[in-house]
Amino acid sequence: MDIRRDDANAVHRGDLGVKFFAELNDPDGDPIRVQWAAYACTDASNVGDCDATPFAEATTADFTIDVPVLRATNTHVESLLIALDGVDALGAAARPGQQTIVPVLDGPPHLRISKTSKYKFVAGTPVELFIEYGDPDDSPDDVTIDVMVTPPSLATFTLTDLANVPQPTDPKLKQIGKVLTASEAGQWRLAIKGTSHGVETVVPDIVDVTVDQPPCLAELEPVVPPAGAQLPLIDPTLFQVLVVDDELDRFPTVGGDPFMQPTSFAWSLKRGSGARQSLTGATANAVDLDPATFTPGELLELRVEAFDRNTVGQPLPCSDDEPSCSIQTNQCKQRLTWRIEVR
Amino acid sequence: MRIAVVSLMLGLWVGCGAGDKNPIGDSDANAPMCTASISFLPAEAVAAPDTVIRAEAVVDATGVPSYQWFVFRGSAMVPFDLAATNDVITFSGATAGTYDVFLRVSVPDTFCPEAHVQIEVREPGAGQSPFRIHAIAPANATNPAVSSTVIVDGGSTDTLPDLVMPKGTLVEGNLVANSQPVAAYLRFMPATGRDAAVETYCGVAGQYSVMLRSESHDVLVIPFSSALAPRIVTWRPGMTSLAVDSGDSITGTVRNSAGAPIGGAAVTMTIAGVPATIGATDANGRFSIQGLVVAGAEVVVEVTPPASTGLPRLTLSSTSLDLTADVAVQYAALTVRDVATTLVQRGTTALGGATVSIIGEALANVGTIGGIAAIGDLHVVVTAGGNGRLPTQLAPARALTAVVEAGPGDYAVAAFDLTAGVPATIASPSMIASTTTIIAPGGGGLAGATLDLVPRSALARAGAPTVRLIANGAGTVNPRLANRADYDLRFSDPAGRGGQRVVAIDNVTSGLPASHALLPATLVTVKVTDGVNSLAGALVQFRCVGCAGVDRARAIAEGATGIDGTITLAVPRP
Repeated sequence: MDIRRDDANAVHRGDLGVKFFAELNDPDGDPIRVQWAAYACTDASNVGDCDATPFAEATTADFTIDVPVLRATNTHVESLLIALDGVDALGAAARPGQQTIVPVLDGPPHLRISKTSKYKFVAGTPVELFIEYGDPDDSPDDVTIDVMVTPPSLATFTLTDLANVPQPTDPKLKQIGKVLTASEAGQWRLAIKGTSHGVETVVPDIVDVTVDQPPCLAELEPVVPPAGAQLPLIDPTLFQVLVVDDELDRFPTVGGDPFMQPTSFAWSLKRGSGARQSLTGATANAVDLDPATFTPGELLELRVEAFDRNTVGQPLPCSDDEPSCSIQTNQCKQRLTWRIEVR
Repeated sequence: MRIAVVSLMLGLWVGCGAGDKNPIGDSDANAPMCTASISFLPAEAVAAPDTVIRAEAVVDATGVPSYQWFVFRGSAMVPFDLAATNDVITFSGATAGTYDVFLRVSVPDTFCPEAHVQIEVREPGAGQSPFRIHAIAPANATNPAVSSTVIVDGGSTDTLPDLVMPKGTLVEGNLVANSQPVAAYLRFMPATGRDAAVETYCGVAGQYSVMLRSESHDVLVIPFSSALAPRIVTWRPGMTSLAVDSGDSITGTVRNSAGAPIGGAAVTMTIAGVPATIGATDANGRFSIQGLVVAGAEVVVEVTPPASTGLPRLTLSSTSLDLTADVAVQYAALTVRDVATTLVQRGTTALGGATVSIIGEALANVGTIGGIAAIGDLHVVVTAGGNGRLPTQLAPARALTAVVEAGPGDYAVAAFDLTAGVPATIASPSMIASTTTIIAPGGGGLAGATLDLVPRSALARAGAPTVRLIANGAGTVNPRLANRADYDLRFSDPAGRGGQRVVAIDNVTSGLPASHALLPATLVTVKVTDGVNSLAGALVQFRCVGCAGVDRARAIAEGATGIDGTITLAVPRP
């Protein structure tokens, strides 16, 4: 009978799921019933330096334990004594019982990373990184955190500290915050290292930084008619863009935010078969049309186009005939047109 | 005995109103039901050291109930006194704000839903103002828009009851006429809030698909075919088909003062708020339109003659117009003049190519419709030739107005009185450059504040658009105003540092005052939910109550809810 452990990695305080196997062999071929016991020790080679009571027991062929941090004496566990006894079906006990000593090292810090961005991780805007950390067998105050960041261009880059970082309610945990204001789009690689009493944990992560996308006309009132249909204009009506989705130039605008700007709008009106006329000065999100200004039965096309800071002043890549337009040939439209029949 | 109760069940409370939700679960949902609600006094409380709020349990159940009370203001628990019978509590209303009162009722072998009420305690001296709150769910949500009237209490802040946007139901159906599919525009107006209308269209297959609240709707149906009469029909949950037909034929004749027919005149009619089809007179001046005649209903008729006639549009609003008989439209004898000799100029420079809108409003003695005196209005658009002179165009010999657009966005308004003859010139001065600073109620320029120049009267009738200006870092804007025009100046701040101010200016001849202060504001917070979960990204607009026309749809303040479903907006302090 022998004790086997397949995992060659060192065992640390606080490790979970450390597994041992019993190698069994009865010369008579009788089935063997096993009894495992695990003891927390300081010096496992000295039986008196182990807890009297095992912290885990089992009668299965394999034995899985969670390594405790402290002994019953409230001192750190420095080693484990794993004992295995066997009895065959006829009551013959294995001689001698098997024991193995497992050194236990200082538990490494554990880290948890989270990332938030108010601006959908657009380059040039702050990304907040939160690193929550603790240590299974030491105070979080014993842990030092280093955050290394590598931009896509592999240039040297330094993060800034985030002020007023909220702390976890669990006193065994602490949290720091960093701000990444990415200067370029692409994958920014992070390596967060926690060190406690010479033991390290390194957690890699990636921040995908994007470029500012064109704005999307998301909600309009009245609803834009589908192809072939026209909106009856019965009363004076306010045609308004209610929502523009954009990382930095959205509508309604977020006042007081240093990174946000309001969306830019351009409006135009086409009467019947006439030429489309720009509504000069109409830069708000709404235009009102009064049927009394037109002739009943007249067909109008009222068009709105949305621009952000990157696209303002540039014509959209669609012909005048196209009622809608998207810079990126997806569902995000920068141009929409109401076909209207004056009633 | 004064009690401040801590409950571990805070996270399960959803505040859906009295007696309609069990946040704990439905394990006893098969038990006999009871109803529980909370009544409170005073109905309108004002914060003061001696203000006491009394809440009483109103329970209908078989058995002896026991009560568990909880009171919060924001996230803070509020201590209360419990009556000996436990069904009444009192607590201090010394601090203004919104108080959430929860009541748990336990009756043996009976299921009692939790009751919840929100009690507003106003600041002393604060007024109240009604606003309409209009909310639209995020694009991919299934919650139809809501529109309701709320009362905002004055003071620096106010919290409204949660705004609930229930999930809708996808409604699919067919629009038919004599069993044939009909293409049309549809506007579904909920019975509980017509402003929260949902629009959709039927294609040639006559099919519609729309997300609606589970309640009756009035549906305005406007078929694209001129052979079918528009109408309002009632839709109720479960209906899968709407029907229209040709309605009633309404006929008439349009003649000039000499009795000669006027061909090519457009005729529109609205009966009880529902538009009829559009008609045009033939060479004999005859028209025929389809509508639904409703005895005694208000009828609005508009007759627009060809621009070449120089005649004004006739408008009549009446409840005594007989639509069952031929409608006779008769122009009065009007003197018309040809404006071809008029020169459009700026100073002494002719404005070749200028667009001129000739406008007349509320012109009397211009004609009758069905024997009833109609009002006239005029809007014709001409373009000055290269020499600045107007082309041939007839117009009534009345006191009219000319709106000149010398170039894109370059407007001027001028009197154009044809009563005694045709004026030799129309003066079109340059727009008036102006500077004004938008300042906070307590002083200081507001960077990022906005000024909307909203045209009124003739300038609006000429189609001039609203111009929005954004203040620079010092809070300054530089508006250009059309000479002699009327405007509404709407000063707002997206950052909520003041309430919107609207200033009406008429007959502009000089620049604006050096500054305009926003109104003191009340920061109003509201949470938008679907009845269970908060709705992030919902658009919330505060709109005016009692206003008409497009102003009804203008936002006083607007924004999108955050990830917790709440939004705080600044409205003018009541």
